[in-house]
Amino acid sequence: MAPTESAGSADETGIPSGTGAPDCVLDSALADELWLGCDAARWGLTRDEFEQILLDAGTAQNFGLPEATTATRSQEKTFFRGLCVADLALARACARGNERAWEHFLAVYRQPLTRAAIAITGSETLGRDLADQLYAELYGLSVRDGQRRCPLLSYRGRGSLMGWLRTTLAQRHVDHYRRTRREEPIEELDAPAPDPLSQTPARELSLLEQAIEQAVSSRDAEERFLLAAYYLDEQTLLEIGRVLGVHEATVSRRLHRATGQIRKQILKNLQRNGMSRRAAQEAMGADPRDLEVNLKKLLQNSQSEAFQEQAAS
Amino acid sequence: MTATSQHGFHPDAESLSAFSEQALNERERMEVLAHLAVCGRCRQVVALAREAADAGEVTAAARLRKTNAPDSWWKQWRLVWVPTAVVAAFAAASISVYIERSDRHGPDTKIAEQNPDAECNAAFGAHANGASKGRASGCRRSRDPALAYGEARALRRTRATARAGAARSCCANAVRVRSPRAQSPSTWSCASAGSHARAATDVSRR
Repeated sequence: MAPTESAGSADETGIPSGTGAPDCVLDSALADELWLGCDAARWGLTRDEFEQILLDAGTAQNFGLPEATTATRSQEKTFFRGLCVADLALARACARGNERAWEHFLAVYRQPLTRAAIAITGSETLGRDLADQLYAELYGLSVRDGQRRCPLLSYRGRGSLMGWLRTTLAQRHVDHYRRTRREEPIEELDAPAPDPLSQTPARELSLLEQAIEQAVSSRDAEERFLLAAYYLDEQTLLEIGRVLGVHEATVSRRLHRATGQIRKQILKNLQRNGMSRRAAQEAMGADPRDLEVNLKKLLQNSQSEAFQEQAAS
Repeated sequence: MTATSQHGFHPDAESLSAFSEQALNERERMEVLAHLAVCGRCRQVVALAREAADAGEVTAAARLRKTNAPDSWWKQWRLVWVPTAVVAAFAAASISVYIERSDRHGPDTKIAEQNPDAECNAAFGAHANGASKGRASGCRRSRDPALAYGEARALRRTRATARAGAARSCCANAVRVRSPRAQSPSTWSCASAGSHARAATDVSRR
């Protein structure tokens, strides 16, 4: 049985009042178009509630613009048109406890949700458990401070509802796995012993480490993501390509270009630090086991500014 | 771009999902990408979600194939044998028509068309020799399966004789037809002689 539909607080209805910007008004023609296209009336939403949901979704994300920027009407329209409005209406109706919306959700999403959980966990038992747990939360069985909490309220229509469900499942599985697994410092265990016959002087090794750090940290976000996904996570080119929405040949080309440019940049950095070109090339041939460069730490140290700010706030 | 409180400063599920579905604008995409470059946990989340999406697509495609599959072997073969039967029937009809026409317009009939008199003579001759009733009545090759081989040979001989007779009669006709033509120069010469006589008479009158 679905949760009862009631005219409760704003949190219960999934339509927070007063959160939208006061000067933000949805264009009437656009609202009509979106309203007719999403079948929201079927889930018991009124036209005003629907508009409010859209405005909340827009203002919460500042229409996809940086925080200090004010969106123009055109940018607002583009943002609204890019939303998965039908999925958003269904999610909010489910959060409200609409019976028909839940029936539809069950018919459409229950089986794919279970299949996705099984694919993510790699186990039928674990997958079903994970899916049931998320489903129970979506159904609003978890209560905090006397109020039913539904994770569907955090869905704002960017991307599909099924994609959101899959990503939520993956988040929970990864977090659970990281919490419960006994992490062992593989790098330390598997670290090879330094070669006693190493011919590279310690000073040159130190300069090489500095040059590598500078070269890697100067690469842009996409190249660092490629390096991390390919060399650290050992994902295939196909998997990386699917995440980025490009062909695997493109990933291969970009990866090749990135490693080539890093190599050139390391040479430049070595020369800038006082080494001759020949000495720099010889230093590039140093045994990697002599280096104390941890690519994982190196990439993690170059934390992105956007999320650093969010973490600080 | 918002970060969820649920997972600290990681992008929320919606941002990662929208990133994976290419639904973010360029600025948001670069923000998520910069985070993914340094966060193994979110890379793992995105990779797993993508893997699940691919598995779901494969399952959906398999289900679609199963739905579109025919119900029985009969439906599969129906697409093959119906056109085949139609083509076979057409071919059979064409062959029978061809045989029928070749019977009507065979080599003997051609001769008969070219020399109707000869054919009639041949028919008459065949009738006179009593070789074949069918041949005499219809001027056609008999299809009687009981026709003996000797009868067939006799028929061929009779036909050859009839051809020879037809050729002779044709020659005779040709002679008969040619004779008026042969007389025409003399007629012309008589006429011309008459004209000369008339001219001579005119001259004498003058």
